[in-house]
Amino acid sequence: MKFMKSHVFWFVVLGSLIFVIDEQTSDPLDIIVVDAALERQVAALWAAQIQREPTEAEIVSLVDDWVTEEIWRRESMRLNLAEEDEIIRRRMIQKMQFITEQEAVLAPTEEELQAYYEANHERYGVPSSVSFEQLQFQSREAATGALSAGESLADLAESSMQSRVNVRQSPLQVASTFGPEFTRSLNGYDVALNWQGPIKSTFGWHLVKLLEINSSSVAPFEDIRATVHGDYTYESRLQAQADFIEQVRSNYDIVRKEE
Amino acid sequence: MNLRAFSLGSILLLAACGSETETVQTIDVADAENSAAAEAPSNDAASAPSPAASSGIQQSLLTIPNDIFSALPGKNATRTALFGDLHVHTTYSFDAFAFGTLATPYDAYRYALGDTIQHPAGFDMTLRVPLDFYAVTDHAMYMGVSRQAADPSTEIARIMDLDYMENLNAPENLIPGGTPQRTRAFLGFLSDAGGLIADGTLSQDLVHDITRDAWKDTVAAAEQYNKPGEFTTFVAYEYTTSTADRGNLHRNVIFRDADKLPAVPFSRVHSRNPEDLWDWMDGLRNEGIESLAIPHNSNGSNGQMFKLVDWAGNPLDDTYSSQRTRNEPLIEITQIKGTSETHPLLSDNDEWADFEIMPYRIATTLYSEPSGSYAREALLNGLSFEDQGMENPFEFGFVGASDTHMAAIGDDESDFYGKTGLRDATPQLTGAVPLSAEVGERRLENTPDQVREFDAGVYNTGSPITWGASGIAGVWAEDNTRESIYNAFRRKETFATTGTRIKVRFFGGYDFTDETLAAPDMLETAYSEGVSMGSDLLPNGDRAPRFIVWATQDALSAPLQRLQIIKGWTVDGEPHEQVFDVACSNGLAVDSQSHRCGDNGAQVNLADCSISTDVGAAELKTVWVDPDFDPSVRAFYYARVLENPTCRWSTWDALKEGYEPRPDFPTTIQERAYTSPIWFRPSTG
Repeated sequence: MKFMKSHVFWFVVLGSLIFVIDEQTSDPLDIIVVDAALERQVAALWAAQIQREPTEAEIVSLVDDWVTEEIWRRESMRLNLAEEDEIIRRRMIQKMQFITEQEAVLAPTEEELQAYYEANHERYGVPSSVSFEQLQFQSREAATGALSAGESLADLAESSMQSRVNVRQSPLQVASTFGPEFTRSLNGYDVALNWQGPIKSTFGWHLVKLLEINSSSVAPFEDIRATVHGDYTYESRLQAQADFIEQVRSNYDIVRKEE
Repeated sequence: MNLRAFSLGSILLLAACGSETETVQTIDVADAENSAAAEAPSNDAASAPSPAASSGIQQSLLTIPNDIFSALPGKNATRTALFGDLHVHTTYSFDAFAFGTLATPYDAYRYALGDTIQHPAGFDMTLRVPLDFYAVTDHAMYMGVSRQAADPSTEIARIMDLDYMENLNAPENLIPGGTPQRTRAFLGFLSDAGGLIADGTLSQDLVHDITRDAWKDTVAAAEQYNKPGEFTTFVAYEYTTSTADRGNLHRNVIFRDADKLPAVPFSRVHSRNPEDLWDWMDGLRNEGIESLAIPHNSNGSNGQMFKLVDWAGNPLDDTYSSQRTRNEPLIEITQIKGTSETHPLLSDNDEWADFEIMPYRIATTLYSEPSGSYAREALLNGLSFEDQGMENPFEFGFVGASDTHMAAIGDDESDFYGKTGLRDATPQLTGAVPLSAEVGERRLENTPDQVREFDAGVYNTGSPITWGASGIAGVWAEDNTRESIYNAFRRKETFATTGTRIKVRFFGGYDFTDETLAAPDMLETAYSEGVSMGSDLLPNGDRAPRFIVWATQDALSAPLQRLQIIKGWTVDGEPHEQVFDVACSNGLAVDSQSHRCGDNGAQVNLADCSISTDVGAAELKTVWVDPDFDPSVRAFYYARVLENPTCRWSTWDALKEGYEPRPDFPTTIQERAYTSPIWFRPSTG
């Protein structure tokens, strides 16, 4: 019998024995209290499941069931079954963690959220983007010629599959639409009111009017409030758990036993 | 500290929160801005009401202004191609959760914008190129319930008490592969939940509360990320029903607006009959809530998606057909779980029909009957209905979508993350590379029908190896807003791609010439003198229609190989179809007998997946006249664009792991785009 050699086994058996003897001697009769609150509780649970209120007789029977279950529960406590049960152990750990978390993060104030956002800017980056107009021409010469055509410039362009107006496009989007070479050339220009170019794409030659460059930036707080709130809450929970453990750890003496 | 009292207090507090009930039937987040936008345009100061009108003095009645308000879009009337995905599952879907997905709808939208999020197996996922629009479509039934059932601190976990769900996705349990727990969570959770409701253990109210909260959060995420002009989100969900023989009848429901929505989405728990879904959508429409449904994976429907009888088994009548087309203007023609365009057994003269065929019924390894399962055949059957003087039940356009279950579309062959999270997280699990010798041997012994043995070892051979890094929805819209994009869906001015950002225009008319094609105002002419994809082309005497087909490549993918037009027509109810090559790359000509381009010789080097750089076209453009046109015959036409071949994802994965590609699956694919059809209808007079 392998378990007979287990220290844990004997620890539990002796512990249970002492517990049982102690319980038996000091308090021979275990008391189970049945009151109106309990009746209301079992009735409410029943109603939630069956979708109607229980009758008087049903309540009596429900309370009987509850008493029987309570006896089962206490008997299992006497044998200390909870100690050895992994599911109960995990559930208690989670409950305890839940309780400590509740203390910590019920509702962060707007200032706390703002401060957290400021301190964690690197998490809320928005990739760079450009906004521009483009016109496509049949050749480099046609594009260059159009530059001096004044107001009729757009009339000289050929019809293009690609949109004339491109709003807040990331470098990857520009590359997917016009090709990497176009993207590199566009990077060389500054924002200006006039047409610039020509620059070459996968499809031909273009003139561009660069309307806006957004270098990679931080998303405005208002836009990502929910995300910040989620991150803050998550971190506060972890912090609360860590704080709690820090606080109570000194109550424990961890003894390493060599085999 | 009296911990017991404290904990009891907390639990009571928690219980009080949990029992809070939601009685509102619609989520109403309308604000002042929306109603302001609805004001009619007024561009004539003289027509403004006189201030005296409000003073109580009886004046003459207001005069109607003479100027005309044009419903045609003035701005960007020739429209822009926008790309998106309308089929995305997150942690709120019971199956996505079973696959280990923790990503929320918020994460999904961040990903679509270019942010990096995590795969359940812990690696990073970043989109190849950000998208213009995105819709999270979680399964409506038990939305958000799995997630709570796995968390032992929740009320529902306590009540359901399913051991396989407990802490399913705790960090220590996020291990690649299909553990028995995950398999039960995927295949058993719905029936277990149904059983607990039926025997009274689990209250419907609790399930509804959770679903309602998940749905509200889905709406909130869509609202948070919707940026008119830059990025569009849609409030959406999946209605996941099937027939008794596991024939897939899944649809995604897309709502046009978010100011007024149903409190809970209609799901298979409410009815398994899609006609009831349409009744519900019709009812909502009468209340001003506009939506459409997009069927998907007809390929896995075992002939049920486009069958010629209704749910009750009666022949389709006009009432059925008009309700179906009213609610379902689009279908998904390509996605991760294969192509639904056509099947080699249905289109034996289409050399490109045998493309990414996924042969199973959805979520099974049962064979799916092709007839009744593919779009082209359904379009043809639709014409036959019209031939008999009946309404056409199958008059739909095309979109592509991913159907990712990790919040993240994987449209990149060279970096494909699969679809089912932990279950297909490694190339061994998908079957792209052999299993380890030990596992392979065991599988060969225990599940010989799910593996195949080749020189390099034993390979998993289930559905994942038949999946692909597809697809994308393309629309032609005036701007990147819900209104413009939704209107494009309704016009069927949509196209589908298998993942790359091919752009394609398709117009039908009678006066298009090569000069039209070369003119700077080509698009203005095409729109004013013709019809765009998704439309009906009316007859013009006996003249043959002329079509403009114009496509450009994804500048980060392979060049184009050819443009095709697929024509379907019926003679005396008999269906016919033909594939015409209409433009070829590298100056090659179309053979007038075979209607095929010559071979442009594009190559793929399987040693490193590099491709020929000097063949193919960045852009192909043509005007095509139907050589066999008969003005008395009903027909549809749609365009198909083919890229030069590139490596299939399974080849990329094998290469990365140092293996040859497995011998029983294609090593390369031709990425492609499909436009919605244009229908020609003969004069009735």
